[in-house]
Order: sequence, then C-alpha cells, then structure tokens
Amino acid sequence: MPREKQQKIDKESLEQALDRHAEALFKRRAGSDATPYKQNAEAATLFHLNKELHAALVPVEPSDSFIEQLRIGLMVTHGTEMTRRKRVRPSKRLNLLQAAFSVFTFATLIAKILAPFVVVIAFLVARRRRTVSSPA
Amino acid sequence: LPSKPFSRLTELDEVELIDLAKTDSAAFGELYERYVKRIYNYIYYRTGNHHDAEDLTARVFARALQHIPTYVDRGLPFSAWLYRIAHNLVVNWHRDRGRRKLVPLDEMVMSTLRSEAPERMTEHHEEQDLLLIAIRTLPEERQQLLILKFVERLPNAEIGEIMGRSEGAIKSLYHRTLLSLRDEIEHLQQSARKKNHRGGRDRRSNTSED
Repeated sequence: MPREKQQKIDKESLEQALDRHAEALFKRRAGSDATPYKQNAEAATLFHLNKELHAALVPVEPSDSFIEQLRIGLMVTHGTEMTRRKRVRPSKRLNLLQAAFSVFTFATLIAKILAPFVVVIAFLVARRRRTVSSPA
Repeated sequence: LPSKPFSRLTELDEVELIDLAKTDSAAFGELYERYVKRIYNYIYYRTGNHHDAEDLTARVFARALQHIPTYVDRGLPFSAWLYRIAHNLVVNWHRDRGRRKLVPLDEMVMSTLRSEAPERMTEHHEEQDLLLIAIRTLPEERQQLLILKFVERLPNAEIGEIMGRSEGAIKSLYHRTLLSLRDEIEHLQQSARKKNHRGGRDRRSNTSED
C-alpha cells in the first residue's frame, strides 16, 4: 500500500478514535480508544488534551436574576413591537395606494407631454410615405 | 405579561414554536427559556467574563426578537441561527475593544479567573489555566468547535449544522484543533520558561550589583 494512502487511513482512524474518546468522557465511560495509541507519544498527547478539555470546559450557569430580568425585558419589547406593527400595517396599505396613484399621475403627465410630438412625428412619417409612393 | 410560558408551549416542536413566536410573546419566551443558557455559555467562553456574557446574551435575544418575523426555516436548527447572531456579536465585541487574540488575552483570562473564582484559581492546575489561554489564541471557528463540543456537549451532526460543515469535516477539524492546541501550549510553556529564566538572571545580576 502506498505510504500516503496508509497515512491517510491512520489519520482518519485517529480522528475517529479521538472523537469516540471524547464521547466516552461525556458519558463517563472508560473508553479504550486511546489504548492502541499508547506507544505513539504524539497521539497520546492528543488523548491527554481531550481529557484536559473535558475537565476545563465545564458549563457555567448564568444568574437566575439575569435570566428573569432579561425575559421580562424581552416580553415587554415583544409586546411593544407587536402593537407598533399592528399600528403600522394600515398606514403601509395607505402608502402603497399613494405610491400607485403617484405612478399613475406621473405616467399621465408624461403621456400628455409626449402626445403632440407623437402626433407630429406620425403626420410627418405618413406624408413622407405618401411622397415616396406617388410617382414623380 | 405572562409570568411563565404556558405549559402547552413546552410541548410544541421548534418549527411550530418559531411560527407562533413571530406574533406571540409567550412563545418567544419559551424559545428564550430553551436557549438562553446555551447562548450564555457560548458567549462566556468566547469573552471570558460574566459581565460581557450577560450583555451580549441580552443583545443576541434582542436581535433575535427584532428579526424573528422575517426568520425563514431552512431546515437548520433554530440554535444555528442564534449561534450565528452570537458569533457575529462576539466578533464585533473583540474588534471594538481591540482585544486581539495574542497580546492581552492570557492576562485577561488569568485576571478573570482570579477575580471571578479565586477558590477555583487555587484549585486549578497550572495546566488547565494554560489550556484556557491556549484556547483563546486559536482561530474563531476552532474556539467555537471546542465550546460547542465540550461546553454545550452537542453531537458532531448538530455542530456541523451550526458551523455549516459535514460531520466528517467536524471530526477532521477537531483533530487539527487538538494539534494546534498542543503546539500553542508548547509555545506558551516555552515562553513562560524563557521569562522565568530571564527573571532569574535579572534577579541574580541585581544581587551581585548590591
């Protein structure tokens, strides 16, 4: 087996073993995943680190007063937000209506300005066509 | 105001609860109860002190409250969304305070340990203190992985969902994290030895001058 492939297999099995070892620590089981790596100093250090991490990174408890105060604060904000949204909703509809009306007015205005030009252009085009079609 | 979430809310699954929380305060309260301790723990280990952990936890839930009406369920756990908010706030917190990873963090961790748990400090092994300092020098995603794995005790599949990686990638990242942690600890031990050596030499030269 090529050396690189063997190294990859070794690395993957070490990753699996480290993961199982950590799981065993959580479940307070005596895992045997580290045993095959006892002779390998580098791997043994990693298993030792696993144990150290398990001992050092312990859950902490926030104070009850903090949890309760924050909960009350959030509930008040949520209530205020809901009331605000209810109030905002009809005005949103009104805004939409206003915007639609503005677009319509603007379009009419543009049409009014452009209409004479369009008529003149159409007249000119028609005359030109007539001139071209009649024989000299 | 509801003093406690209604009992029926505790029976709802996450998707139903999130939908309800968009308009119902009690439902949001139930979501808060489910996740507040996890988010607090996550932030505590990323900042190193209770005061900032409380402040940032409050900001996480305030932001969640603000954006929950537009929350879209993409099949990920709700916690992934909360952790994402927490992660962004912690990153901003580090940036705003200029608390760069390498220079003052070891001192910060030590002072935090001393001020917040003096009895723990005396019991604490030197090795464990060094480990906490070394963890804080790791890149953010590796710190996140260690906290989710050891403090939150989440399975690899859930960690993967939160961090946007596959389960296999998480195992691989964990292996690499352990390797860099080992190197960092060695580096810290070496610099501590050098410092001690230099301190001893200075003391000796001072006594000889006297």
